Amino acid sequence: MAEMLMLSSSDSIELNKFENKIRESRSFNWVLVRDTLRFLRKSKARKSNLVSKYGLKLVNEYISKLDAQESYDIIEQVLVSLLECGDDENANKLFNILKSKFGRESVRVQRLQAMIHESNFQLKDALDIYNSILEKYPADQMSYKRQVSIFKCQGNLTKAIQVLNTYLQIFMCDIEAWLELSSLHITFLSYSTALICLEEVILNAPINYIFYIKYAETLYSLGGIDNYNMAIQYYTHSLELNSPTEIDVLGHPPTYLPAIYGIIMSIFSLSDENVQIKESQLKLMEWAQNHLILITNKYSPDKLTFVKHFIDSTDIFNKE
Amino acid sequence: MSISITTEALGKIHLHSFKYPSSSVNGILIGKADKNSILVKDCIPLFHTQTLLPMFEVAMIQIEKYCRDNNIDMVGFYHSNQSLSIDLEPEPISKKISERLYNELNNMCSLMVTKIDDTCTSGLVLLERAGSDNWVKNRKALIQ
Repeated sequence: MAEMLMLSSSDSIELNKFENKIRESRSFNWVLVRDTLRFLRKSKARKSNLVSKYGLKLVNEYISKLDAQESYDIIEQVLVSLLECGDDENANKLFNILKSKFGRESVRVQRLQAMIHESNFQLKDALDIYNSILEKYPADQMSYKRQVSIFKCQGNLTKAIQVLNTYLQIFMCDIEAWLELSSLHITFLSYSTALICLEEVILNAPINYIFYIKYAETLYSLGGIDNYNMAIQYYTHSLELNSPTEIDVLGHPPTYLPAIYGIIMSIFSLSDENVQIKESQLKLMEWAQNHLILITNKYSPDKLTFVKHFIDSTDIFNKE
Repeated sequence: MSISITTEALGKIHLHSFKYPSSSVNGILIGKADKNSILVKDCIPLFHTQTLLPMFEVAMIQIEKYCRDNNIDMVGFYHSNQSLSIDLEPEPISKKISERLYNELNNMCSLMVTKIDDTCTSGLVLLERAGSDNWVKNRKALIQ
């Protein structure tokens, strides 16, 4: 779940370009596939279907053309995607290549072995392997994370939170882990704890607008006058980072709609609590309403009636 | 109570969960309901990340308008957990939303996406209300 939030919009545009190119090209373009896989490794986006389908072909037929060092990285990458897609047979084949090359003692090979166990639902075996790796190499981040995901899969979220907490005591700067922890707390509806995690995320990535929206939404979910006011501040800061003035040069629909909706909802909830709305907030509200209509008109005019209805039912101007 | 679901709605629900296999997904069911039967004609997919209040409220306001315009009712809620282990309980937020809808609507159903196999060909199980804020799976209820 975390990786969806991590991807910046420019990254996801580039990813779409790669994907379209691959799907459109009639013959198998191994250079393109190699570059795509490289990009995916770097951006950490998750495209299991794409990787397993085209990556497998690359590994099977073009392995000799690849750089020796890189080819093993690619095999590992494709293997993990194959496991995610449930293709155990091919995954095992690739695993044997890696095992014969690097031997049973290699930590990376052991970890892959554990992941194969996981995909066969032999969770206990997998846990044992991760534990033994961690005994030898207590700083192995991946093994920690795999353990968390096993506990999540078993539905044992309390244990997952516990492991994540120990992990975060060692690796304080891991944004992904903080995000994961926040989402676990949100699952338990303990929003105030989730907020603390999100604060860490924002501290580590202060220019990513998505996290501010996330923070604001969690604040709003918590409710209360102070939190609504704070939520508005975070929403507007997110807009500052992801500026609406560039609307005409964007090649895709704008990505700040949640912020605009959030602002309208927060101000509406404030007026619901019979709070006197500040002058600046009234202006903000008016701007948000107009902007929302503008965007809808441009990108999905058929939805205009719903958006207008939404604006009417959250209107604070006519109520007074 | 009998629940029927059209192929279109069933397909939409499952495709939504297939598109985001690693997240919990949810959405609103729309169709027709009377005292002892529910017909799910369509569904509106909502979230495939965490479900937080602001966007959910926005969605509900817009769906309300959609239903009024198209002369159709909200009849329930569908959701899937993040992981597809068969014996897991529904996530707390799903229970909460089901409870909210239960109080608002005359008749509603809460469906949960599970594995499609011989015992459960539709891949959906019905959740039954067991006291306030508590919903348990009813494996026997058939969904047609």
